[in-house]
Amino acid sequence: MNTYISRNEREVSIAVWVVGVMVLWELAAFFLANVIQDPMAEKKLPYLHEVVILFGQHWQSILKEAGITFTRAAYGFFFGAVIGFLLSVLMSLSKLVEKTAMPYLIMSQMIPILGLGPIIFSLVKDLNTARTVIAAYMTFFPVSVNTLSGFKSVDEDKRTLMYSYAAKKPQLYAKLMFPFTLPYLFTGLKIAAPMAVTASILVDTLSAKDGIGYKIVYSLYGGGTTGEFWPALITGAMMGVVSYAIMATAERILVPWRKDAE
Amino acid sequence: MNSKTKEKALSVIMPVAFGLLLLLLLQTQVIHRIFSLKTMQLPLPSTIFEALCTKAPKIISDAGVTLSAVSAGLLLGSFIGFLVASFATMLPGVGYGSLTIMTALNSIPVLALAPLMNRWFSTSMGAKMAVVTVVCMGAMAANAYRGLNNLKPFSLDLMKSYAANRRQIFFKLRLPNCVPYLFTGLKINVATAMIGAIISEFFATETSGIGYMIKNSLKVGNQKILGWAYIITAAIISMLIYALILFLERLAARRY
Repeated sequence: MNTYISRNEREVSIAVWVVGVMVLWELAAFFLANVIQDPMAEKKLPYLHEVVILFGQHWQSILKEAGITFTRAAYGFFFGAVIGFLLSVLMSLSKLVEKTAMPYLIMSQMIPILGLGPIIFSLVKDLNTARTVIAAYMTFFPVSVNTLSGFKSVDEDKRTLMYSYAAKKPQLYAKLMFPFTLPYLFTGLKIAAPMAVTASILVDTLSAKDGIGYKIVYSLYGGGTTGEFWPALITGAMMGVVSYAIMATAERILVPWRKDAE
Repeated sequence: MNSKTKEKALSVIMPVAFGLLLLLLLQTQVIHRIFSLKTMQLPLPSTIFEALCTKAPKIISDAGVTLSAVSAGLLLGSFIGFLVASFATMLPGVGYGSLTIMTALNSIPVLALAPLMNRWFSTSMGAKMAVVTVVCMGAMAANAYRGLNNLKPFSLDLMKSYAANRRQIFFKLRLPNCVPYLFTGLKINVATAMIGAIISEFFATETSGIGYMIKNSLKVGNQKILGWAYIITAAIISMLIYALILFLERLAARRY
């Protein structure tokens, strides 16, 4: 995509920025505490090194909760991805299905599903079902839309060639459409993975007794050990990044022919 | 020609028919029976509509509160995202990392952000706008960067052969090329912004806004229907903003 800078340069640039943000954080925390002398300074923005120390103290419990949330997110992600994929296959098979479903697909994204957490919970009455439903709901849209755009960008020439070989529909899909669409599918999966994690964290906060989201809210309101708030918050953010990285790695392994992947 | 108009008509009729069928199934409680739900859990469309009508003034004022935070945060966040993308384009070596930081920022769960922003800002409105701003930056930065750099082959070489400097290349080539991508970014951000505002209101101290009302009416048993009415309102507002952006996109498409 970008031809101006090499991979190496990119990595250096990212490293410089990460260090820069860390330094900026320390300076801002110092500024809050000592220049403005905000009485809430430690709550608003504690020193980064203190957060690291806190993480060192609580890492076992935090990582355990993070693992629970992550595994649960994976269920919903899996279901959402399967539904999204099947939907896109249906839409690519029939123009009528596409025309009917597309407006609703877009509309479905306008419903603030994350805000509906309590309602979904009251509908299915089970927290883990609610989590799966919400995570699947967040996942299916990017997957189906991206996969469909993959099906649509298969070259007409290639299709014609397959027809001239008298290939049947299943063969056409297995030999041409699916392999061609894989990179598009992974684009969707990469967008969806952090969303599924976010959904899972949200459901944690509803009334679960474990999970990283519970830890964040619980420690924020001081019920638990308040020191865990910042480390848990950063772990929550990192979980999104990790889920993205997992999908990117899976893509590199499963779609080796896509050399220009970002 | 004839088949084209037919196809166009079908693309309107089919979704509308599907929607009506769904409403009918809900109203006649067929769906309730299939999933063994009570009308208390999933209210009938007619009762929700009734609640929407009778509580209209209150709903509209709450919607106004949320809408102002959404639109301000959406514009501000998208603008910051665009600035970062421009920076990363003008100074590729230095700027690329800032783009990555933006994407990482995007993966911070809104849930964690909302209570934190309440600590930073003394008013709920400020906190809400801050949350919406942060959640809108990442998608816009990524899209704008793509738009500024996915140029037509050789167009950059052509500009260089005209001896255009960086600024001219930016304003005459990259920026017009970026316009459709900006709209894509905005469209992605509509739903995110709405979710951000609603979640922020879950934690807010102020007692107005769609998010507060959803949370509050779900707590009180007999007000569940009102909660649904607010959800429908939120969806309608998002769709209206989305439609506005689509309209502006059409206008822009004529020029670019």
